[in-house]
Amino acid sequence: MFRYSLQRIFLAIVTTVIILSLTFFLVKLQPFPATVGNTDAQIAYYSHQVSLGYVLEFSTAQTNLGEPLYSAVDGFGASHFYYQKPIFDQFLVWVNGLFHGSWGLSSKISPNVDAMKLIIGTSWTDSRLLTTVKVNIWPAVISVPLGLALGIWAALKKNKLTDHIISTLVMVFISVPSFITINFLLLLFSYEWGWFPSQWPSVTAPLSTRILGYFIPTLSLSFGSICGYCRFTRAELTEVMSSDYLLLARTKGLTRSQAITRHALKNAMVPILPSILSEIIGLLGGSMILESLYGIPGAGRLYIDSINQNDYNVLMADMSLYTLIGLLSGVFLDLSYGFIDPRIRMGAKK
Amino acid sequence: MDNQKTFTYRDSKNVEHTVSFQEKDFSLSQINAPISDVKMKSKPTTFFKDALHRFVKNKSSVAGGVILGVILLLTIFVPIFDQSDINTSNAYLNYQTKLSPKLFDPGSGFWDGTRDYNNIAIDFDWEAFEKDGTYSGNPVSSANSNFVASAIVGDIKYSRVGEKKIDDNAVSYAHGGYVRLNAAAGKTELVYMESQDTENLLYLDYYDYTLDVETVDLPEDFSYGEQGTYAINLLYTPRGASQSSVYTLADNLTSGGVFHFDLSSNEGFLSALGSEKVTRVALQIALTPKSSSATSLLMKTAVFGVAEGTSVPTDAMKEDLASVSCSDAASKLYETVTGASTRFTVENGEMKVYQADYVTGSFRYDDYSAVYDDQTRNDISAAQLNSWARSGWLTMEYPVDQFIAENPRDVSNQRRFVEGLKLTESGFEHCPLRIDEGHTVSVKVIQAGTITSVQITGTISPWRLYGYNSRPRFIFGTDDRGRDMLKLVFSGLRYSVILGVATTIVNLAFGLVWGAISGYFGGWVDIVMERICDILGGIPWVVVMTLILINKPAGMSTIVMLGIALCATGWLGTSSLTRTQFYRYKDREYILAARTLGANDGRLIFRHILPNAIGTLITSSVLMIPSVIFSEASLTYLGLINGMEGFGATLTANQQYMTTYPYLIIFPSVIMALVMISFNLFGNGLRDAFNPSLKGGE
Repeated sequence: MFRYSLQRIFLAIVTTVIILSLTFFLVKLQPFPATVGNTDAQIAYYSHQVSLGYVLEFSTAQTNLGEPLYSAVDGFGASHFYYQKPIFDQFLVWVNGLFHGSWGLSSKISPNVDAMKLIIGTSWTDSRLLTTVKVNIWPAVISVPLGLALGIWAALKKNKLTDHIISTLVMVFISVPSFITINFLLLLFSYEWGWFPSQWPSVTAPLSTRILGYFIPTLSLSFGSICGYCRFTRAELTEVMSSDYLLLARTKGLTRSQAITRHALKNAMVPILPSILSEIIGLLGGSMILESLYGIPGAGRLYIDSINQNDYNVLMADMSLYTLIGLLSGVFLDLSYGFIDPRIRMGAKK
Repeated sequence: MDNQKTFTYRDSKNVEHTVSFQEKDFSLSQINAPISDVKMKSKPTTFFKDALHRFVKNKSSVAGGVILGVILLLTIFVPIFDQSDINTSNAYLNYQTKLSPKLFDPGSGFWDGTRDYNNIAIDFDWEAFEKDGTYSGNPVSSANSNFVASAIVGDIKYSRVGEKKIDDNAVSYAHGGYVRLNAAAGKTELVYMESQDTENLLYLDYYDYTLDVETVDLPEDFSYGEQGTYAINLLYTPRGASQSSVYTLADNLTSGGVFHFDLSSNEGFLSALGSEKVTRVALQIALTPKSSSATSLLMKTAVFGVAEGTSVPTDAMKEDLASVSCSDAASKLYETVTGASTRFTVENGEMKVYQADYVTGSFRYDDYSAVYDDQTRNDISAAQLNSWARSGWLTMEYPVDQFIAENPRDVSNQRRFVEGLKLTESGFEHCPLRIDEGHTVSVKVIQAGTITSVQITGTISPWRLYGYNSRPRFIFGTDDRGRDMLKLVFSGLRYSVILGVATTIVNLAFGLVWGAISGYFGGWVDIVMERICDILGGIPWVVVMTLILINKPAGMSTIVMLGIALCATGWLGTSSLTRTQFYRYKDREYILAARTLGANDGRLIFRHILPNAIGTLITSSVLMIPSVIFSEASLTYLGLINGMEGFGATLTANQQYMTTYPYLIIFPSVIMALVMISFNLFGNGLRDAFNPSLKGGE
């Protein structure tokens, strides 16, 4: 088990390294992001890129470095020629930075701030990652018990009216894309009735507004995960309920409720619990659509902003975060099966 | 009797029974009958028939399939049969922007092309109201979009707001109140109250006039600046003089108050006028702020009246601040103050309505009636008449070109031209110009400098003018560019579905081959191929999309790149499904038998193993289509791609009208939700039908 865990974690790290390297090269293959403004602003921008280590500066034109990114004569009559470093050199600069705890500086969104610091933040209020977690924690708190309860209820009343109603609702809500749910929530609660703010309240807003601001994100994220848990639980529980050992349990004289609570539920939870745990890790990722639509300054919106504004260092840092979270939750999911049910030997030979 | 066998047994009541058999009791039934296979009584079934049989039993999936079928048929036929124009940016489309959805005839109150307008500022008839208290007026929402009175369904519910501070939300057609005059720090500000058609307010040829000005101190909650000083001046232009002069009535005023000036007894003013007793006069307020901060003044009234005891009619002169109108154009607050013919001008600073009284109205409005009801238009051109005549809708006994060329000023020519205009049979049906009882055409000659032009006025039927064969009825309404939402939604959906199907086919083909190779050959081939899948699968889909979309070569269309992005990792699911199936079946005995009989790898893969996976693959392909539609819509929503014509683009474009025109969001959303739900229901039904063992699972 321990060996297998190490293997999986090692493999995840290798995958991350491969993905990030690939990503870096693909991002850098794009034309160097140009800037606008007068000569001074341009020179300032490219000098900044020089300090970041991605651009070389010369006072004369170079012949062996390709087309200059920018060339100008400043107010003092000095010439500046800027050339992009080879992408591999830029990659080394970036990796070197990683080992020194620097993810590169942001160029547009919040100039000269370390990209990872932009995500993690420096205080409780300006942390984008924390904002995302804060928004995502409530759906998890609500949807786990509700989803499990509905799923158990539906499974117990299998093929009865209750089950049909629950299953249909689950089907509907799981199919409807989240942005449509958000739209309808906004239309009803914000615009029609005016109960909740239609945008994420700023930190300076009164406490009551800030609390109300949690409702729409929580609702919109909860629908999907409640339905997910409900469907999963129902499927697992119905499968367990039709198993032979449950029949045996009833045959030897257990009441239905005893059989369900002592045998069926415990066994049905084996695949459900790990998925809950891995989803909680997945919370860090958050929902980009919700964050952009509701104006939540979280990690997801930063990602979209960094793409739109060509802030590649921030994009890389955010991407790394997402990739790591995705891989880690996968590893965690696999490993937790073994912890929860010792009969499952992950990675065991046939 | 030898062959007789006797058996005895006891039953449960312990009574003994005896049974005896003889050989003749038995005979061989088939001793001479030919024995062969009998054809099965039950009908043979194929895999697909069996699946269909199970599918049909699943009511919700059948319902999903039917809804899906209807929507898919609509996506095919709506763009074909709906002749509305959604591609070219025709100018006429601007006439029909944001029409409410209309399915039923007006009057039903629901989905009938009408809309409630609440608390719209009303161009209110204050005089009638002050005289007998009756409410009347025309609703006007802002400076550039008026309501057509005839399109209002039922009555307007008036409500008087009362005098209210107007700070950020400008309201048109306010009444009374105060005007705020501002002057920036260090700048003397001159505010004029003058008449619109002449330079100054009053044309004085006698002096029995009074001027009443009432100003108010800055309210305490007003933070514009300290109160400076101000002066009340008269600006007058003696007859024959080219320049106006200023006469100061009151100077160095620091606080508000009521000022009354009797011009006829104002010696200073009279002597300033000198012998010239006839003049034009305007009121001028000169604001002088303190050196360091800006100043404001609230002006309540400024009335030129007639001195007591004088009986000259003065209605035209009694212009005051009784009527105030403010407009919010281009999202910038600006207000003007108008009386019937009064206007305020400001030299440097700004002027705003500070506080005023206004009336709002709530009413139900028929968008279609406003746009498509017959209108009297005076811009009918000769070219239009000619083209209608060419279409055979109109006959002109006296052709319009000849009429203009000969002598349009001649009244008898005009009559000849107007009376010669006749609609033909098809013209009654199609001609935008309506000529019958009650609808007449008139001609007016306009002389501008040396250019003579003819203005033809007539009743125009707008929907005929815009090229419709009948009064349009947009079931989903129209968007901000006047395009039919019904057609827009379904052609967007068609685009998305085509993208989804194309992507699915590519994913299916690639994933199938990849999974088959990986699963069939196993060993190191499988290990290498699986690691590649692991890495690709480990990248979050947004990252994959971003990487591919930002590396879009110039000239490549977005949809192709999106297709590539969707295919980049989309095949992973198919491949792993196929691989699992291959692992399940490749060691079965029948495969071994086929191999022994000499089947090669290709035959084993495609004839013996793959058909087992077909059900799973069909299900996963059906479920892949909605996920592609979802991805496309999400990416458009996130702003990562643009230039798409799919479903997401329609939704995104209308996001801004969520509060004002919610139907623009509701209809596409409902259709999108329906598509997703029915695709999933249908797909899940298929899965249950193909794999009964998985029923109820994920």
